[in-house]
Amino acid sequence: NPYAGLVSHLRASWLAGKTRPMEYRVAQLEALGRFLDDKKQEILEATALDMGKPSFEAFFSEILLCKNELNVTLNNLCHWMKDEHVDKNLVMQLDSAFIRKDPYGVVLIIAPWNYPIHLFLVPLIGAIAAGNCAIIKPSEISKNTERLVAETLSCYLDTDCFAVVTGGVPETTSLLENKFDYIFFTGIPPVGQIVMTAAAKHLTPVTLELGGKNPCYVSDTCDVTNVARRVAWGRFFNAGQTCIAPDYLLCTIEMQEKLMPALREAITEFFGPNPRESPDFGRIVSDKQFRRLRALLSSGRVALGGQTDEAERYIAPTVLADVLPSDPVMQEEIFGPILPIVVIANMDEAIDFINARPRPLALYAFSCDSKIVNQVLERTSSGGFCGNDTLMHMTLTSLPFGGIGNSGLGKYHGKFTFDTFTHHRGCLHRNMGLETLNGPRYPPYTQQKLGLLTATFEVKRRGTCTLL
Amino acid sequence: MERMQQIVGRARAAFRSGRSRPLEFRIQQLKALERMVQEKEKEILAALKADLNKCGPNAYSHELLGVLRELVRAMENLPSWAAPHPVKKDLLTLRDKAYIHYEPLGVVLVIGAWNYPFLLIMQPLIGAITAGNAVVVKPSEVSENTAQLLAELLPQYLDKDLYAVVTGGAPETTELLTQRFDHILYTGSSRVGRIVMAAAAKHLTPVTLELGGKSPCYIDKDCDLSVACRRITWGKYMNCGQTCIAPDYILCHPSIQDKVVENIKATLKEFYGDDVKSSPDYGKIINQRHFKRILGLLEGQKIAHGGESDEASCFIAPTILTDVSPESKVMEEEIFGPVLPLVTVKSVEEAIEFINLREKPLALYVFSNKQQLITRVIAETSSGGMTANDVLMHCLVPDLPFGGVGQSGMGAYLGRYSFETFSHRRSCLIRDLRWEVVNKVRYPPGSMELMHL
Repeated sequence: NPYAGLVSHLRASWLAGKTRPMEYRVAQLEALGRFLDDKKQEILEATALDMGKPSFEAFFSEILLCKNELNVTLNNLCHWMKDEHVDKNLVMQLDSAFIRKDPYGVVLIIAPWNYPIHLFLVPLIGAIAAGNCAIIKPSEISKNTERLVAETLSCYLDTDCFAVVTGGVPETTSLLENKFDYIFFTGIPPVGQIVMTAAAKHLTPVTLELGGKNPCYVSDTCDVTNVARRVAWGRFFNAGQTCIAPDYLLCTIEMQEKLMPALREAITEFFGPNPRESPDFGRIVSDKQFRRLRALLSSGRVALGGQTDEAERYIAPTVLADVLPSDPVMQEEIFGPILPIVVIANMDEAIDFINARPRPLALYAFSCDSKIVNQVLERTSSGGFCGNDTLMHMTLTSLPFGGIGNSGLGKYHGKFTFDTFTHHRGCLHRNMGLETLNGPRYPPYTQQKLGLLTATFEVKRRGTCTLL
Repeated sequence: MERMQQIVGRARAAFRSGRSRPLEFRIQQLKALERMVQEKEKEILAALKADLNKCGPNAYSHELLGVLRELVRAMENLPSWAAPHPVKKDLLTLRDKAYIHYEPLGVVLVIGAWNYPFLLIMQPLIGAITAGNAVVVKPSEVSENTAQLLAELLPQYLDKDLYAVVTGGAPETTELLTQRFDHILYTGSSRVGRIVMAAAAKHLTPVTLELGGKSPCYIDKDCDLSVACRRITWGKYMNCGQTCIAPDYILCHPSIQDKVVENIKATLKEFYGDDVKSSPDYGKIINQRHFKRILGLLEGQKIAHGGESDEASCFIAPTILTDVSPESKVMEEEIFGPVLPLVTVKSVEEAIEFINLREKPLALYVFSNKQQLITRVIAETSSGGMTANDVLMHCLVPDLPFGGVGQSGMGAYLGRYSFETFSHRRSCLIRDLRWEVVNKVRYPPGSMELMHL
């Protein structure tokens, strides 16, 4: 196996204990911060080349959000690493019971192309903070960013403990044959299955950040202008290539009528009369994705946008009206700047529609009536939920970010990333004395001993007290 | 195939009806389980006796007590566990509601093991019910009396559609695993753990695997040997060594090996009398297959104590082996029997190295009067959980997670950890449709100056 040597090398560094001291972890994390600062321009340029990512967006998602995660981690690492002491029962009052935060060892992070720095760096922050060694496998599809990461990350991180592996499907398959102590994968569900199956061979725990069709319900009582702006922002950010983008809209026919001019206005406000000329609107990452998306334009009818340019891989911010559930655009995660509107009669129908489909990564509901927002929340299931806005729940580092069912398993961001890459080890340090207290547990077993054991170990309902 | 599909389908339809979600309903089901344990105590103890020759007080304290404890803990804490957890907000979200919303996952599969056949079905079941799920349980067919009893009793006390019992062996389990579940908790061997995870991967189902391994026990020269050996003897020979967190083997300095043997022998006499075979407190090996397997491990070993066996009653006496070679068969696989190998090491460094050369165990034990030595062993090794100066006890601390790492498993449960394992933590951000001015910063046309706010 071409990567066995590399994995071995990292495992040796791990066994030598290099990554465990807090000072070491802080130094590596600070180096990542310098990477983001020094290479800011290069990151903006690489992502612009890869998918026409507007500098504003690239700065926000690839630099700013990453620095936030870095700072939250550096500010709290000392606290997170500490043993967590827990309550003890009567018999263990003289003992010490705590949760030790053990690193796993050598972890693998596989990142996708749409936020190519963010989606390897944020998991990596947690992996380093938790004391692991890591192999990073960026996506070969965002090839400029891949090259940047492969060439420059080694100048910042300790190459004995952190390595970048490049390549496509054959290389990733080969890499996955090795034993890792944790695998963090972001990508599409079918590949998530492949990763988990490979992990099963070694009993390697995994986090899978996948995707799906994120529904966006807009009720009849709402401020149409603001809704349109917030939905348009979430849909067209990164030209729609966002795992938590609102994938499709559910609303009544009356609301569809009202939304259309509001959406048109929002799009014009954001990107001008010709979005193709706006520096703030991205492009599709590859010819394959472009062709896939172009084919979806035949669903329903194009109410806004619809223009395409193959040479530039440009697809205009597009809204499709009168879309049927059976249309092609409703069969797969869109992952592009196309927003289909599916008309429903009322909220109940919208909820039934959502629940008849695989559970999404994100779910959105817009209404001036908080009871409606709450009902949608209570009667559906999704990775995360945002009421009256899109995307924003992922910017709060104190909220766990992850999917459910087909949209993924596990969660991260903030402390949750640290916890993801940490084995929480239950530890009990007992006293060697007071052996008589242990008497009731030893054979020969008697009813009397049992009575004593029950008294000391039983959890009593509140309101009663045990006298020993 | 159809039968499995029907059972799981029924559970899913029952879950979709929403009736397992209200807290009152869950508590009602948990209260029913409590009644079951109290009313059917005799039947449960009889099944455990038939399966593993566990006597009354033994079976009660090792299986029923743990179940009752878990039930009370769940009923007391459910309201606080299930309540939405508000989270710290930042500048942009100050006006919003941000919280973690706990929700059931859906239909959960619990696969039990034969060594604590009642406990290892009931504790996960309690956790899954508490979190609001529908549950399918598959008790081990090897402990057939307990499996049969659970199949009879659970439908008498619980909602029949939401909670189902499936009995059978490998073929039935394989079939069951082709169905889609929203979480699978499996207790058993690493070999089967792999099969379960691979099956789960097809549906992207999260798993908790409670597996095993060889749990090492290091005895330092500086410790109260008599106390240490009594505690070790208790944990090792309980249930005839068939405990996933039993101390599997001992590491100690050659100079104390003989004293260790003497102390364990003395304790064995104290526990089981002169004739172990006639002690009502000593169990039996579960079946012929394991009986033969364990006896096979004794080949070529120096037996310092024990070694007697009786095939008809699946009896193997408490056995101690000395000067065991690390390469021998008894040091390759998890023993899961009443055989305790002593491997000599010259120092704690050697012990740590020995442990780290092997797969991460489910439990790890160290006995010493020296705080520093214990601190070092904990810091330089990894394991599912551990106890210093005793054995097994870490699994009785209510707020410690119980689970493995590496080959000994993934995930954890018991108490609050069961609730978390069987719940989906859904992040929720509820914003206001007004205050749009705050959002203006983020909209195109973008300007880098605005960004540096």
